Amino acid sequence: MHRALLYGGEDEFLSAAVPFLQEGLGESDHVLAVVPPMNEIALRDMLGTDMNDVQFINSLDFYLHPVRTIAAYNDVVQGVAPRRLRALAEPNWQGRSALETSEWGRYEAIVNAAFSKSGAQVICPYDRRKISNQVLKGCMRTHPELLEGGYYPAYNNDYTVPEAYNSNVDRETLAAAPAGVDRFLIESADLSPVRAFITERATRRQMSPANLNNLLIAANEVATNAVTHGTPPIELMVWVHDDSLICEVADIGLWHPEDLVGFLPPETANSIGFGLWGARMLVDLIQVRAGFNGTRVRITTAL
Amino acid sequence: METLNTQRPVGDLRPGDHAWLAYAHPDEQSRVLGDFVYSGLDAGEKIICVTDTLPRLLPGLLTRHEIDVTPFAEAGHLSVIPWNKACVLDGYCDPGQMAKTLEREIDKALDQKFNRVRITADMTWAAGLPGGSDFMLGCDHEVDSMVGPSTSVTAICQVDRRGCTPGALDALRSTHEVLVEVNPEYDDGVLKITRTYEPHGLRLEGEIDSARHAAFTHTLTSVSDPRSEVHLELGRLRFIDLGALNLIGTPAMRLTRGNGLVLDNPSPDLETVIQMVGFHRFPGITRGHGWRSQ
Repeated sequence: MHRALLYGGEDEFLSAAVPFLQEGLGESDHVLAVVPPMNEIALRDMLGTDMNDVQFINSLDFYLHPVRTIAAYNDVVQGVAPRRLRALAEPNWQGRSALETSEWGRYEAIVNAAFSKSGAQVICPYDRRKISNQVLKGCMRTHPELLEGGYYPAYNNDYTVPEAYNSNVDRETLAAAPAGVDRFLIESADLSPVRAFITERATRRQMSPANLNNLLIAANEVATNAVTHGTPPIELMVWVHDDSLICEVADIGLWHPEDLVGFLPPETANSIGFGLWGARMLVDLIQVRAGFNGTRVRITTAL
Repeated sequence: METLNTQRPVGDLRPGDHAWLAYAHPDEQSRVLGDFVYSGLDAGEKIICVTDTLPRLLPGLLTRHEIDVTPFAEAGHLSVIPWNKACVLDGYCDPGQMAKTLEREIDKALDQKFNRVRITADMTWAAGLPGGSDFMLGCDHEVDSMVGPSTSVTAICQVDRRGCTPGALDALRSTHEVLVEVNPEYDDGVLKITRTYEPHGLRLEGEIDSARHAAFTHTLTSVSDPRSEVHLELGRLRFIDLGALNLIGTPAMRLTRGNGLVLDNPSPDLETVIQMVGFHRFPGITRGHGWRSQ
């Protein structure tokens, strides 16, 4: 059960959140509240001694990377089993770029799928005073039920299933690569020269060795995929944008990862989608665009 | 005297090298010595083996290279000299006598018009005897004085390490600049895979990507042993892709028949990757030496 709680003030927030958490304590769920500090203070105040049975996490520390956050929630669900998870999960939307907001919107859609299998009960609070229209629209599309000024949820007609939401985000056009980027034609499964190409450019820009290694693994994965399943010519482009290094692998075939593969943590390294998921975990962002012009996979890593 | 050792595959030994092998397993001896003698015969070099065994039964030749070297011995390309002929003087084992024997054999080889000579000496028989380590050190010293300044002689002195005390092993090791090991199972200039014997397993050096997965799986299968752990030494592995980590993970359980793979000395970067992805996603992996995290 995944609900959104739209609140316009602290009272609205508490009147829905507190009974929800207390109900969970009563049912011996594992009760988790990932909220901003102000809301945590308010909750602790209202819960009294019950607050000791609730696990509090600062949302500013938890919502750093969408794919890692999904994995973290998944770990919590697995970790508390056979108890059920009951969570108050309030992502922070402040100070995010349009791209980040879009990706966190996707996160909200996908985490639905992650939670639904385990029977977890989740309420996502959204502060109506602070969120943008884009975020509000996303909220409406990613939560099957809405709590708005009341305890009883209304069914949300704007709800879109995660797979559809996910596909839609992937239809948004990528900003074009700047002119004159460094290009490398990938012609063999031996990707040693590709890694050297990226390493040279990254070290020139003084990327940290840890970030570089993660980037190489992710880029290698994307390139391996292109060489194995893509249609030549396969090209790598590398450039710098703001404080990030962008690596894009493009081929003229058509590939799009199925459904939510690559976002949800796999069971083991042997599962389908492990490679793409692993790559997503290691870098800041991977965007896949597939169309009649071919497939582009763009990897963004902080320098 | 402490010298710094370098470890070299047998295929990379050059004239002037006096190498040391304290083998941990008969297979190791067979591979190193077999390849050494075989390549020497193949290159038309003279072979001199100081050992108490028949030419046909020299390690690694019949078994590994499927060759009976008796005809080579009969034709004078290969000499096998038993220890009592090589170094006995007045009923005592004397390293000085060893030097004379070798000098004679090398001269004979040059008379026979050979340009290069390869020498092997198996000292295992002396290891367990009283005064054995001193004798081994003595012989070794004599071999060294013949080989060191030479531009045409290469030598390997060996002992079965199970027969030696740790003190003796250390002493012998420290007098050699070159330690010899088996030739790699695979080496394409980017990835090198070498068998290891103590612990049993493989050493991976360089980079593994999908072009090399088949070679990796193949060698992994060949060292899989239902009775023992298989170790992967990763200290010099600079890069490993997710697909190869996958190969080390779940399929490794099958390959090693449930024993799994022990990973030693992963780079900090590799540890980070495994941690980020989740160690539990690789059921076939166990942490060996050199991990920062638990």
